[in-house]
Amino acid sequence: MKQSQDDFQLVRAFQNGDEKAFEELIKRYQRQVANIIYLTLGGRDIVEDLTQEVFIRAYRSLSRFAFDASFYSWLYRITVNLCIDEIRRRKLKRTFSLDFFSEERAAASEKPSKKIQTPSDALLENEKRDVVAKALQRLKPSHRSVLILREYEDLTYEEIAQTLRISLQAVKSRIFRAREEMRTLLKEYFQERL
Amino acid sequence: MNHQDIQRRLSEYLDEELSAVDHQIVKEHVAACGECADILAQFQRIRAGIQAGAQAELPHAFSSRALRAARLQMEKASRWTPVEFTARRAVLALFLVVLLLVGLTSFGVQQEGVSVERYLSGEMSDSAESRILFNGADISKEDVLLAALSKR
Repeated sequence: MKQSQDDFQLVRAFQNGDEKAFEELIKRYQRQVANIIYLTLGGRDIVEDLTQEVFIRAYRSLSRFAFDASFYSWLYRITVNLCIDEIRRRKLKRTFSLDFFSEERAAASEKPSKKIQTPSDALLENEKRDVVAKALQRLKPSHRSVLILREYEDLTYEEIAQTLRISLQAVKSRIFRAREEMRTLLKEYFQERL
Repeated sequence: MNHQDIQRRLSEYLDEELSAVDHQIVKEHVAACGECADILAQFQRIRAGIQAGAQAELPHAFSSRALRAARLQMEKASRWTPVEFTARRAVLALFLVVLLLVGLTSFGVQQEGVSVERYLSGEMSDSAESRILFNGADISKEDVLLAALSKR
C-alpha cells in the first residue's frame, strides 16, 4: 500500500515547482484523509472542508518536508492534529451551546451508504456502522486517532508511533485501552448480536 | 504466560505485533479458551465496524479544487506578508518613540516633595489649627475659642 519512494519523487517534483505533482499526491491520499476525518469526527458535512484544509496545510509546508519520514505519516499527522483542533473547537462550542449532542447525532446519522445490496443487508450494515461509529466518538481523542490509524489505515505500531510522534509503548497501550473501551461501550450490542 | 497475561496481549496478537514465540502461545491459548476467543471475536467486529464506517465521499473534482484553494491561500498570504511586516515595524517604531518621549518627560520634570506639614498648612492656612500645630504651645484663649467656633 505504501508508496514511499514514489511519494518522495512527487514531493521533490513539487519542491521544484511542479504543481501537478501535488495534485497527484492529493489524488493518492484524499480518500484516506477524508475517512480519517470522518471516522474521527463523524458527520459528512465538514469532511470536504477539513480534507481541503489538510491539503492546504500540506501545500504550505511541503517545501520544508525533510524526507525523514514517509509522506503519508507526515500527512496523517497533519490530519490528526487538525481533527484534534476541531474536537477542541467543538468542545468550546459545546460550552456555549446545549444543542451540541443533537447536532452531533444528526450529523452522524445522515446520508445512508450507496453500496446497498438488499434492504435487510443494508439495514444491518448501517446499524453496525452507526453503532460502532457512535462508540468511536465516545473514546478519548488520543485513543480514537490511534485506533483509526490501526484499524482503518492498517498502519503498524511503528508507523503509528512515527506518525503521532509517540512511543511504541504508548501506541500499544492506547490501542489496547481503546479496544477495551469499545468493548465496554458495545457490550449490549455484542450480546444481542452474538 | 497465564490467562491474564494472554488477555492483555490479545490486542497485539490481532495486530500481529507479537514475537513469533508469543504469537504461537497466544494462538494455542485462544484455541482452548472460550473467554479469550470471545474477546478476540469482539475486537475483530470492532475492526470490521470501523472499516465499514469509512464511507466519506468527496466530489469528483476535489483534487483540482483543493489545489486551487491551496494556491489561492498561498498567494493571499504572500500578498499580505510584506504589508504585515511593514505594519509590525511601524507599530514597534511608534512604541519606541512613545517610550522615549515618556522617559524624557518624566526625567525633565522633577516634582517637589510634599511634606505633611506643608500640606496641612496649605490646606488650613491661617487657621487656628495650623497655628496650634505649628506654633507649639504659643496659643491664646482666643485661639482656642476660634478653633472651637470654626468646628461648629
